[in-house]
Amino acid sequence: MMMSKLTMVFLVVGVYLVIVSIIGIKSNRGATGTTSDYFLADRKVGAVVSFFTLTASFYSAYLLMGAVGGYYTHGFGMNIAIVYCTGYGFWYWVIGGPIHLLGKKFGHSTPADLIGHYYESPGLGGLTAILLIVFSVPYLSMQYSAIGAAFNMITDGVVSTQVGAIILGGVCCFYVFLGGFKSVAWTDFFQGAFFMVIAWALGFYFLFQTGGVRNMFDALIEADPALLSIPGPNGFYTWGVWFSFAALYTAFASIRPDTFQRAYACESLKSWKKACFHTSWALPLTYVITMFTAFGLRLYVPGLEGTQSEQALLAFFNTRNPLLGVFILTAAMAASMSTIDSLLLVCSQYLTEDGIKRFMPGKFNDKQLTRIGQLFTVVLTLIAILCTYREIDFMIVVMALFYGFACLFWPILGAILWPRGTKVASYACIITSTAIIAFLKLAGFGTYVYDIHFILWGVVSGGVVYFVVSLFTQPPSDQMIDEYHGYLRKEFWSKFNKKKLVK
Amino acid sequence: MKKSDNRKTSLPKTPFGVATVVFFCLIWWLLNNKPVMQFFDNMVKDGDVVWLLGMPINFTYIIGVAVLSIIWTIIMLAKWEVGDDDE
Repeated sequence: MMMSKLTMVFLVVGVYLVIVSIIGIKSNRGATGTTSDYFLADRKVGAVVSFFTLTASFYSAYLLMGAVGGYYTHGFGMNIAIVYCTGYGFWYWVIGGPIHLLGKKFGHSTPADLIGHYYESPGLGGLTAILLIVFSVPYLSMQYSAIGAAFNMITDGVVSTQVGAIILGGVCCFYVFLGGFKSVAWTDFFQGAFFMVIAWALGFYFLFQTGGVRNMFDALIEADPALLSIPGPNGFYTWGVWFSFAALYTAFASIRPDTFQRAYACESLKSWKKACFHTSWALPLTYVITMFTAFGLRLYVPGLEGTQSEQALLAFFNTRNPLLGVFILTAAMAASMSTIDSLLLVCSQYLTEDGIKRFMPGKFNDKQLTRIGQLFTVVLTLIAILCTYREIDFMIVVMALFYGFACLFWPILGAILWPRGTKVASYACIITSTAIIAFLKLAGFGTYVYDIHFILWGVVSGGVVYFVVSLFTQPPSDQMIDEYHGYLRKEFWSKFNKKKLVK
Repeated sequence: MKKSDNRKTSLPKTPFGVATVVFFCLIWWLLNNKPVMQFFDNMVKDGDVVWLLGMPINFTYIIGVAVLSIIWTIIMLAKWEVGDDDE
């Protein structure tokens, strides 16, 4: 049985790796060799692919492992995922729409381009670039550790975390190296579709197995009534934690580096609107369905604790159809590369366009920069694999810090929504947020300070500073304000409900 | 763009536009957080569960708010006019 399980794991992973490699090779064939083509697919990504690539980079294996484990362990508290997903359609549109338009108009390809150009400050753009690299690259390393650990778990320890990271990360690097964003988008398309089908099928399966919604909840009350409310059986989901998750994952997540990249890569505003439309219903409803899967598992395979709960699907199928369980989880694990490939390309883009191009202007032509970007995918993969040897606590800190990029939320909001925002205020906001986040972490306050996530303290403080300092300092030139806000008011904001704002 | 507009936000000023901003930036947060959510959450504690539509009421409530948010987003997007090509 052990051999057949391992055979199944290697078979599924092997088939998957061949498919994504073919996609990478095919994407490379039509490549023009420019940075726009490599990092943004020449800004020609359609609505359906945009939707699936948004979805896949957001879900990955987390849906069938992490989210299932979350519902299994915490019960109702995990519904915070449904809550924050219901905000995505709105935030992706009101922030992603203007970002898309400005990207097309000015040729921006990273958040640093937008901030540096609008505030007429190469220094601020440089600081943004450094910040994004500092927050994103370690997070990429953490993802490699996670995928290696998942491989280790599914193979019952036969394949070590490091070897797992080398196999999956290596192939991921291969197709990103070859095809850039086209590879990422097309693999995400298949991965996103796969997750949707599996997640919905499992949800309905468990509803059917338990005899419907009411029967499922009745059984759940008998199993553990604490699952039905906040803070849950082990007291994790306090109201502060709940609020922190809602805030960090809703508005602030709309400026995640990978979301930004997708807004730039989308072919038109109309396609972006369609992608936002489908995101608005598909993400929250998929979590509702996943809740039924997890609660079904809680009833059929009780007693799993900690990270074991993330293997609940595997435990369930082990008693019924082991090979099917291995197939589902192995495929989910392999498809978690959809998060890694997005981050790998984003990090490579930041290092190339925000690092090399920004700090060494004119030294390399566009095609050379593309080669450098490809080279960075290899270097980043090697660094990430080396980081899999680090302690897990270090990785958790890195993961939390990733959301530090949310301190850019206010300067970005200024560029698309509030002409009064200023360069000085942006500097003050970024420095204040980063200082508070670093202080709270380094001074040992823990992840939750007075029940609120430490990143949120930094980001909200930065927002207050941005607003107050803006009122007393000089905004960008009238010409720049007109080029940004005048343009957006004409082309975006006035298009809502037909009434014209600009006369 | 008039210079006097430089101090204002660019948010939509139509009634539905204002309502949408108020909903997602204020009401959505109130509906999904402690004051209101806790009210429904307390109705399923201590083994005394209030049911609605086959689920404990806090589950029904959260799915209900989700459906409201989704419908609002869809209407908002439907009312937002964009051309075929923005190039």
